[in-house]
Amino acid sequence: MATAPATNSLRFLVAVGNRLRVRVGYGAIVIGILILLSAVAPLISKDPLHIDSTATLVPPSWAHPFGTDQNGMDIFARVLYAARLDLGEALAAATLAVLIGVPLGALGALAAGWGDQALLRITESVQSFPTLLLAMGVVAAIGPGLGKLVLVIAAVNIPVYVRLTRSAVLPMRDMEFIQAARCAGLGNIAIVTRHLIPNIAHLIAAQFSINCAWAIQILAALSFIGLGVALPTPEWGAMVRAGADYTVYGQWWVALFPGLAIVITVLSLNELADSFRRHTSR
Amino acid sequence: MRQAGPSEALLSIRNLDIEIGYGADKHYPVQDVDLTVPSRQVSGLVGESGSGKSLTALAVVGMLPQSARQISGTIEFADIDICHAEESHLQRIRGRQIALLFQNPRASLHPLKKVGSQIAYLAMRHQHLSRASAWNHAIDLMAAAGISEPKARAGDYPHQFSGGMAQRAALAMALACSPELLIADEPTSGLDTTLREQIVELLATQVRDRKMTVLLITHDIGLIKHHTDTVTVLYAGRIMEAGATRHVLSSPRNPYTRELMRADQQVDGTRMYAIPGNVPPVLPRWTGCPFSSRCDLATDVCREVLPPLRLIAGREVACHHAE
Repeated sequence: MATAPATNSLRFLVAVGNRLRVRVGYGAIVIGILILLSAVAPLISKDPLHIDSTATLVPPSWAHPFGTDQNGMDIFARVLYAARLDLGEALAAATLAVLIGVPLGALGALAAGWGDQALLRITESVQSFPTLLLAMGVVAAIGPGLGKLVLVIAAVNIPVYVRLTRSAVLPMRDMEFIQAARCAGLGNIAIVTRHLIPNIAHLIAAQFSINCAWAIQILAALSFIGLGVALPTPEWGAMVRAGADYTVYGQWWVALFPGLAIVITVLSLNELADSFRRHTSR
Repeated sequence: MRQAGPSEALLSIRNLDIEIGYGADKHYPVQDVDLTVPSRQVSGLVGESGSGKSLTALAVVGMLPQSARQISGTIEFADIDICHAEESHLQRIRGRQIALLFQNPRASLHPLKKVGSQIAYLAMRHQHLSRASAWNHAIDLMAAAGISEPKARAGDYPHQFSGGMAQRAALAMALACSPELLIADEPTSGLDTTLREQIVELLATQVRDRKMTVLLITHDIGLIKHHTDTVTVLYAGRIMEAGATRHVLSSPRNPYTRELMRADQQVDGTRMYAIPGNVPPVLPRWTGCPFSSRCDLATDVCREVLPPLRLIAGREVACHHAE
């Protein structure tokens, strides 16, 4: 008798869970939790830059859930604060790439002349370099700095959006409602913003999510090889780099937790992209 | 009664030639076409699929597909030389002075925007109305286009419209800026017979009320008979016969026009008449009469000499045997 309400609420939870799984998938949930945790980081963790020379390389404990690093800084706090930087940087770079790449690709497909061809050749020449190597080269040339990193990561991702948008717009270009819009006196700009972009938004959203994952990987990789963000700024790649030396001596927690953060974030962003695709390709 | 007397031409096309393709694959879907659309009348352009009707319409708004080129001829609309106008000038003409109504109404509406806001957007863009007054204008237009409960329907999306309703919505959109010339390119294909009549009737009323000029492009000679003042019969890119509708259709002088009319007359209990043969899929530059391969009256002269347009019994006819 007493089990009835319990099964009911269980059913309710399952129903809610089912709906959520259909609607968003775990990717969005994990990313949401991550953003939330990084937002409330000052409330739930210590100062990520506080150096405690009496407690260096302490293994995970209640006082330091993820342990401390060689400078006695709390790794839990640093992982949370790094999420702000890594996610924020990824978001900024991917947004910038979308804002430049999508209109370029759409206009290229519409114009379909030498401008389009030039655009294609430029994107090809950028894409012929491995993304990471290109980013490394440019950062090495123009020097470090968070703003510059965002610009470089955005720049190496622009060709992806140009080509994605172009190939999505090409079959749409001669569709009747685009023709009708042109007949109604709309110019290229109005057609791109009003007619084309809303109709390819789902593709852009999926690519945007994947792109954020790439951006995080690139930033972490650059920091890992010392071209990105330097210590003591909390950043996942730089933290993995700093901890890598200690792993062989048994102090595994220094590199493991920021590494896990990268893996979980990238996987979740990819799953999010997949859920966009599932949602729209039914 | 409409007046079919002499009237100033709003649109006049002279010697229009359009080619498609390159090198050995060139073909000529529109050859030496003359077309005059008198102001405030309904002009018809009739012919089978592939006769070059739609390309002619697209040329008028300067929107030929990239594979097609206009090689000669002039298009003059209200003293504007369309062929030499800047793209920015054409953009101002499209929608405001010339509107096009397309074959497939649902495909010509933006799938992700409410029908009302699509119409209102044009009014905002071209007539600089405020958002609220543009929305009201859109509802008025939808009512004028025969959409019942326009207030409720304005908030619906194109996929919620039936084919007939979507064509009414497309008509409302074409009327949004009260253009001088409305080109209706097969506005009724894909609609059933009763709807067809209703839509064209609606078109005719709106045209009279708004003092517009219409170029009705269709393969349906029945529509031409009931709703147009002048008609141009096109076959395989060339004009076969052109003149006042009542003259041309009451006593057609070109065998092709006769065949078209015969195909329209359905006799109970018998199979619908179809003109034997097909429009050639690829049109060469004609050296003989294009219809000679399907024509009963064809003689050697038809196959070898291109018939010129001659003025016979008050209309122009291109046929060696017409008299």
